[in-house]
Amino acid sequence: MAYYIIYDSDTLYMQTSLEEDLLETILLIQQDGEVPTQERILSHLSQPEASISTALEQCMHLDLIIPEGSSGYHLTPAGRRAAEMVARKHAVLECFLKETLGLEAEAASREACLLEHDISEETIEALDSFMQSKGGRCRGHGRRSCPTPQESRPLISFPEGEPLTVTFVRCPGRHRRLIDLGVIEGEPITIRRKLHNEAVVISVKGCDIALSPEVASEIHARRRV
Amino acid sequence: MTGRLSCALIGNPSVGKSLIFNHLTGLGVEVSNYPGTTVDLMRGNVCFQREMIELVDLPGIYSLEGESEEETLVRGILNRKEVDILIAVLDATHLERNLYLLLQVAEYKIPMVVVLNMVDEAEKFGIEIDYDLLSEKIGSPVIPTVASEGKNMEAIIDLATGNPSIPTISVPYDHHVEAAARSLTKVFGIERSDALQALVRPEGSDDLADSAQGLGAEIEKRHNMTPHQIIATNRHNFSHALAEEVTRLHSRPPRFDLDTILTRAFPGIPILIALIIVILLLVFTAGAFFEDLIVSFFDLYAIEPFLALNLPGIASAIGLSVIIALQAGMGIAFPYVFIFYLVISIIEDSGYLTRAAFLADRSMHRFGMHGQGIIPMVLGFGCSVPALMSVRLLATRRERIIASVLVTMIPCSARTVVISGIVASFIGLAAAFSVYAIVFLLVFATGIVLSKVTPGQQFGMILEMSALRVPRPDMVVKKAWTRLSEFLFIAMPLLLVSSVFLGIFEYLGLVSAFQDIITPYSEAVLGLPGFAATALLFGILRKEMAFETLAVLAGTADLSAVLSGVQLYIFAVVCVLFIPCISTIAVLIREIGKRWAILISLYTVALGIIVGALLKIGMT
Repeated sequence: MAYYIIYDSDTLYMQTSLEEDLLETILLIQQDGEVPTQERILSHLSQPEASISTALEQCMHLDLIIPEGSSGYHLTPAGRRAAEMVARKHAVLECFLKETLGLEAEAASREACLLEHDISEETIEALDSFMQSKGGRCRGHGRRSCPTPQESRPLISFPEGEPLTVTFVRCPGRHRRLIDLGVIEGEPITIRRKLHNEAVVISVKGCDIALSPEVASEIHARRRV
Repeated sequence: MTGRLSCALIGNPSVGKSLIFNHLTGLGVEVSNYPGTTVDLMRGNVCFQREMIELVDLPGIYSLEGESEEETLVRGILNRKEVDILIAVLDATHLERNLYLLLQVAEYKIPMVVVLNMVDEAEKFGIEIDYDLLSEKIGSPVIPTVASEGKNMEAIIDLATGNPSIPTISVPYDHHVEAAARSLTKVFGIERSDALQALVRPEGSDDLADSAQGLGAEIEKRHNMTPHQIIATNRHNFSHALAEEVTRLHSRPPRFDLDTILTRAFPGIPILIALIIVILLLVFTAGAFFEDLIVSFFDLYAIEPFLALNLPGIASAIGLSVIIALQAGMGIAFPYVFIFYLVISIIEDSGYLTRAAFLADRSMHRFGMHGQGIIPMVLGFGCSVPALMSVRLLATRRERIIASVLVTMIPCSARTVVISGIVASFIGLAAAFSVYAIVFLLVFATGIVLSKVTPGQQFGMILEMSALRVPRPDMVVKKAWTRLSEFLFIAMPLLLVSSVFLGIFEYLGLVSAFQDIITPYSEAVLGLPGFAATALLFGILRKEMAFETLAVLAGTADLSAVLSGVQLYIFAVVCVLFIPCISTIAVLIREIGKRWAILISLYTVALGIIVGALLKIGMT
């Protein structure tokens, strides 16, 4: 687990990346104008409930969040500062990876989710000013969709009609046709029809494509947020 | 290559290429088999300002990087610059996906005209495309068309003959890929497109392939993606951005989606089954009706007057054989092949065929095939010939072979005539059904065994659902007609030759000599008299002829007077399983080659004799 250090009123605290993700998630939910309850937090983070509860307690212990109402939470000023810092790091990193290094949006976001916990504030500042001097500011800077990379599951485990994003295709060499039709990592797709034998019709780039079960099982996807 | 200007239509499957081709070319379209492949190329001539221009309709493909026969063929044609002008046809309703192929084609630096087809449908979906901007981005002229209404067709030729420019559009690839491509172009003095191709498919054992493989491996290590994946992703992203830039979406009220009915297990599967039954009924009734009409027409107006001529021996035998061959050919071609192709063209053009394939995928799996395999199987109940011709729709050679074997074994309508004419009428309905049961059991077993032993990899089905639309009657008839003439072209010569030979043999007394030789064997193995074996031989021309010949040779239509029930039953089973008719063999040779055609013929002969022998042992 990665640790990083924050200075707050001369006290040294260590925060785990899960706690950082937690703070960030609460900030996001608040920004959406909703009350961050444990349930909502759980639905954003793909972590076992037990470890989230522990992290929540730890954050309360550090005075980063305080309980609100019967089941909700609220960020303290210190908590908000910490959450905003993580969110900013994510945004800057994602932007850098995407615009300067040319990574795919999906990959950039995923990578940023990992790096944000380890990188120092100085480096982030330097990176940000470097990119501003280059004039390469991302659209949507500051907003993110990361808190949890939603679980990647086989395509056939999703119901009909759910908006999905392809996460990966196994043995792409055998399925060049899939690549030709646009079933590539990061591509938004929808399951149009699923039969009981797990043959599916997916919608890619506005076209409907029928796949037999053995092909469908090679495709992994996650819910689009 | 001729000195004429040569234009080629290129694009994804079902974007309206053939429709445009048919509009632009008149009569005299030539379907040619490209050397060494089973891919058909349509070539035609367009007369423009007193100059003849050659127009080629390339097979529909999604990409130029694949290994399929179609892709390899098109890639070869582009590589060797066999055409002067490319006419890239895009489906305006699926611009993004279609641009993916266009970006690849543009890399070959061949002058190009871009045809944006189906703009009327795009409009219905609320898609507005900025043609000028698209043309500016691609660097070649863009022309909106509606091929189904013939709109703007002439303008295509205007543009194609007006020195269209070489497309300037170029995908900026990942910088590692670009660097690798640059170094390959420098070291080997090749084009960028060749360098990219080498990276995607480092084939062969030359230095270029070696270097490309090395560079590719390095890129793969760095990115965790093969160069092909990276290049494909770059192209997809580029076409996405390009499509977005030139397209404006207007919201339109959602239209009723028929797929909510057609592709669901219920009521989709009942609809599919009902449709199959309707098709079969149509064959059994309409086909049999017209066949009867044609056969009796020949009897009345050709055979009887011919016999009345009382020509001297050999001339009479040959003449009669020719008439019988024509009778057999017409008797199959018009009632069965033509009706089938009419129905199938309607289903194909309406877009339903792809839905049927999706629903049937699971059951076809047991035989090592995919959903598309249902089409030949269903057609096989009518006539093996069109069924085998449709085997071409299947993606892999493995599937084509399995389907061909099974189709050959499925009782076609001619064999149904044998079963109903011999077994049902002389033994009983239950016995007739038991013949079907035996045949289906063997088809099933053969399918399962074949799916295990047939060489070749099994790939899953990846099939684009074509859009549902009302088929155009003239296109349907034209398609069916083209296929009918194809059938006549391959089957007729063989039918004529074999019929004349049989006629001569009979005249020379060879048939009765054969009968004398075969009698002991036929009696020992199958328990059938020699004349029954001769009748089986005539079944090669047309399966019902076995039945008809049997009656002629027996000298009575009341077969139960000369043959026992067991003998009739064995005769029918052997006749149904026995060697396919000569037209079927002709199509088999054409579709999957001599070797497999011979193997299938031998297999069915062996199967017929073995099953017949077993029945004889079991029943006597």
